[in-house]
Amino acid sequence: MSLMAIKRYLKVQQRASLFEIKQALGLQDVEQLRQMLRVWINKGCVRCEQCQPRCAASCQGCPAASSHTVYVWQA
Amino acid sequence: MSDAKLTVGLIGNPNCGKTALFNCLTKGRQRVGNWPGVTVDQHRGELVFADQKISVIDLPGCYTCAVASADSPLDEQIACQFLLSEQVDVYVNVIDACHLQRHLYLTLQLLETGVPVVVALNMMDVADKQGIEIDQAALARHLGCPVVAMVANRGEGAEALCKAICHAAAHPHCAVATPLPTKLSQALTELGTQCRSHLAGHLSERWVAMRLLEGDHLVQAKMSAELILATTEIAQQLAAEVGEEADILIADARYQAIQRIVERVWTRQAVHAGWSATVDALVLNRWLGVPVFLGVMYALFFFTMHVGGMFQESFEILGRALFVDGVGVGLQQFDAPDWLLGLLAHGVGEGMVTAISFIPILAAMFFGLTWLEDSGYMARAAFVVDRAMRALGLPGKAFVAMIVGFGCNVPAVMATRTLENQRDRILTALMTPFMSCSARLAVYAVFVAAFFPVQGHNVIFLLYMIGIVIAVISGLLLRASVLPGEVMPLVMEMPAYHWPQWRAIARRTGQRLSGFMRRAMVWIIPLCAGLGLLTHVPFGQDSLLSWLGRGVTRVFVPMGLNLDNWPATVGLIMGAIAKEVVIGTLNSLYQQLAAHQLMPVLSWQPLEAMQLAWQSLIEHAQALPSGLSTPIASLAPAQNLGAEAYGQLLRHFTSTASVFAYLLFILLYFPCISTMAAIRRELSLGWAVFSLLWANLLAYGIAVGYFQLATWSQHPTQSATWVTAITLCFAGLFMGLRWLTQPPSWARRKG
Repeated sequence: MSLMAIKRYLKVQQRASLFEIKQALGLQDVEQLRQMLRVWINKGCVRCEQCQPRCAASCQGCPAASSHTVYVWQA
Repeated sequence: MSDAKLTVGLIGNPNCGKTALFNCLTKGRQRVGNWPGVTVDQHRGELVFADQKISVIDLPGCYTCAVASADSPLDEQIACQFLLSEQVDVYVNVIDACHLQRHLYLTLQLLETGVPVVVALNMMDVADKQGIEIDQAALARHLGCPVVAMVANRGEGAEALCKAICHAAAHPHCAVATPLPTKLSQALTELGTQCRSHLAGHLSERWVAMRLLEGDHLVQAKMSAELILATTEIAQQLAAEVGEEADILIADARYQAIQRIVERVWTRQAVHAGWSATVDALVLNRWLGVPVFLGVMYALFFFTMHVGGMFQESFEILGRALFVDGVGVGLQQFDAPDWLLGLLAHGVGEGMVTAISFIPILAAMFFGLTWLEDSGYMARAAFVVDRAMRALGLPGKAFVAMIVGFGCNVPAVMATRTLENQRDRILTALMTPFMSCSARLAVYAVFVAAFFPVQGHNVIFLLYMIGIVIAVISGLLLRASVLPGEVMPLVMEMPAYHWPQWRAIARRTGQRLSGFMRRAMVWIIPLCAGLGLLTHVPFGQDSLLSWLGRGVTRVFVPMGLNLDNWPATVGLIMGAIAKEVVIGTLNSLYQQLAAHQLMPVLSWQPLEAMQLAWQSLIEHAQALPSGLSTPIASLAPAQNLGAEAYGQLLRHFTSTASVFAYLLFILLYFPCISTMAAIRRELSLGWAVFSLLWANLLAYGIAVGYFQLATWSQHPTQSATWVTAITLCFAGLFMGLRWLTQPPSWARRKG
């Protein structure tokens, strides 16, 4: 669990959802990941955007799908 | 007993149980809730343990003690400011055992202060159910501070915690330092040396140096320009050498330390997701979430009016026997003049009877609301509504404050402190007064009982929903005009469900109820007495109050008030002080109008009153099952109870359209002086005045618009004129506000 790992991942991917970052970095706690991303957001390196994921149109919808947050690397 | 008092600060992430622990330690009665952001200010309490006096300070929840900017949530700033300004002997860091990893970040920051820290590992019962095991001894070893397992809401572990606090204060331990990169450590030592001359006694140099390198807004504000310059130079040099900025290096070092600790002390066995996940699948469902929320709110009002209403008549009978008949007969014994009898028995007495008769309804409402809050459902409701709110471009977290507004608008305005930027704070504070507070419920209940005896709970539910809709529309208009900006996503910790404790619910219900009664009594007695006097001051052929009331009532004629119905206008004016007094005022004035026609004969028969009250309770209890389809009918006054006031009410309001327009105005206009004071305190005088004007304009426009539309067939030309005028006024107001804050390009060029 490292801020640098998040930075490296987002720099390569450019944009990723909370779930994608969590899976890629093998993290357990989503809230912890949000806090870590907040560090980068406060630095102005990451911007978060709200958008509807592709799956939301076809499924019954889970909380993660309906409040989909995408983090965009912008440094 | 030791004279030296220990000062202990309770600090932790939101919703980890700090206030539950505070209440457990100090036998305090601070409000607790199963959602983040319940505490938005610091509270103090005292306790004595083993002859040691301990002063406990409960702080608002925060995730970090570094304030990144002036826009950080106010509750977080309050907690961080406390760390800088207060001399504390021991910090008790409350940690939710279910989310150890997340909570340890603040723990490491607290350990860096150099002040002794005791970790209270709370909610161990929930962690057990989730299959979580924490090696407490290993955790204490890795952190270098005592760790006490607790279930704060049951008081388990409180004694061990007090022992640990006393021991930590007497024998300060040496916390395990977070391993830092060498270059960063050298930079901190260098900056710490330069900080030495700038510090107050209780702050450690290295901690302040760390805060400065992290860009802590509050610490920077306390330091000299010279030291800030030195910080910038050291930070730039470090960034050039390491390739990363100091604040990132510090935060990263903490996260890596947490990772190492958690790997060694925390294990989780796979457990079945259980009923909690099943309930969440339903209440957080994309399609069912909002209908479930509406259903829950409907059930709440149904319970309030049905179960609470069952006791209302009994309370009224007993209240009247005591405050009207008892006082009246007592005065007659001393040959008191009629005007004094009218003033005390029929004015103040009736006002008090009105307030007392609402105790059961409000108690049921507070009970239901507290149950929902404590169970963890309200946090889910905020999450569900957040989607809809964000789709409209409004901050989802605003809904948390709006839910608080169902109880009282004042704490709702204060709850805006948890929002993350000033624009959202202002927007939410301007939206919350449209939520129907408990005092408004009392007004609705009286009118509904008189005019909508069948299915009246639907009318109340409708009014609550209209309040939410108007708050949202209001937010949209303000966002599109005076408060433009980006919406922050809702980041909210979802609390675990738990079965609320009856004692805690009863205590909180009692607190809310006593708050209502205190406010009501404080205002009702002097107001009713004042109104009683004014009705006896002659002016021409009528009283001064009647003359004044009739004058102001002209303004309300377009929303269906008759000129004769001046008591309703006086009720609105008095309601600006506190909504609790609207019904008291109406009752007092209508009773006095009735008394002008026929002064009721008073007789004090307490035993008969008690018998009547008991009979009424039995009758309502028996009617409970059959009354499910007409619950509000139980609120209708009996033939011999309050008949004068209800009779006047029915006589003066000539149509249900005018009643509903009046209730709409009550819902939307000036909330009360206390709410305005709260907006002034939290935002500014300017915003308080804006809120006042905005609410009154909306209330008048919507009430008049509704009445005119509802009575269109009776006077189409007049109604069309009013509706057009209101629409144009709102459009003009909106365009004017938008123009003022976002002038068109030609106006900007000219400027």
